[in-house]
Amino acid sequence: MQLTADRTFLNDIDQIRDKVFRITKRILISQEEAEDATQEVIVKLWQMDATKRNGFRSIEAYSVTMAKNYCLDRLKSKQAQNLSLNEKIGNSKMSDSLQTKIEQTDELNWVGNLIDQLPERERMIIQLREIEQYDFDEIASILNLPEGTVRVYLSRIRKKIRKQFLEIQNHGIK
Amino acid sequence: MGSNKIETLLERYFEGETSLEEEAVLRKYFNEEQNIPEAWIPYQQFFGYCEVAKKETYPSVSNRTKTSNRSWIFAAASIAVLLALQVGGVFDSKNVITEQQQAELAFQQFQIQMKTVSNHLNRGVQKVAYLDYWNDTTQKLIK
Repeated sequence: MQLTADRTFLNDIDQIRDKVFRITKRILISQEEAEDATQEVIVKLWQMDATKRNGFRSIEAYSVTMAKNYCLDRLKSKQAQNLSLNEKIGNSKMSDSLQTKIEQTDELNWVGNLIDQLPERERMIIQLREIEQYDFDEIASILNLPEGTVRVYLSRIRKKIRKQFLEIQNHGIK
Repeated sequence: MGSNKIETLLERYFEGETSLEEEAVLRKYFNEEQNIPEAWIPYQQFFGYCEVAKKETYPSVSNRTKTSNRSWIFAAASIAVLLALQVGGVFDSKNVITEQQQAELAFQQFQIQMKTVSNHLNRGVQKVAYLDYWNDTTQKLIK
């Protein structure tokens, strides 16, 4: 009985892990930090009592919330160490592998860089809606915000990104 | 899909009013349509990026062990090189000159050389003074 429960949990985990990794990477920006954060979330899920685990309406939404909280804590402790945001981005770029460097030359990736330069809450909302395609009520519960606020934020961010796109297009800089 | 309908959807999209289903329509249009109006190219790039970003996965376990093996080899190699240098005396602590020490040394040498140059110059000036003296005397004689 325990074994089959573990097996279904393992099946769930695979999908959750990729999702959590993408979200944590969007918030923390650094690849290594995101890998650590993902591990942390998975370990916590694994240690959790199976009955408690099955009691959640959606284990996925729960994991994403946990990932978000973990990332925000990480960012906060970084700020406590007087690391500025720029420094953080710079460091992550320095330590990135050759593969990432190649990816940065990729045309699509400058869109990603543009998103990564948004404040963390906006990055999170873009990631959850445009990439993970969550419903407004799910995003609202993950971020602990009213649904209406999420819509307002999203509209604002979409317009902001559009504006930046148009500026880039008009100046011809990439 | 008529571009009129897309335009209305886009307007609502930017107001945050579209549902996931409607956004799926937009995504499908921008990722599959061949003749997209030029003004909409940025949207196509944005939706294209989202499509790619959605497929990113957690780095696989085999990838991780491979890199860790490689870094172990690098570590071993660097230790070996360091040991070799130590044995060869290259890494002798006396030979390690810090950048600042090097700069100071260079400055001292520069100072010495500038002093020599200035000495030579002064001697030159003294000789020119003689020339002046000689000039004065010849002037007197001509008078």
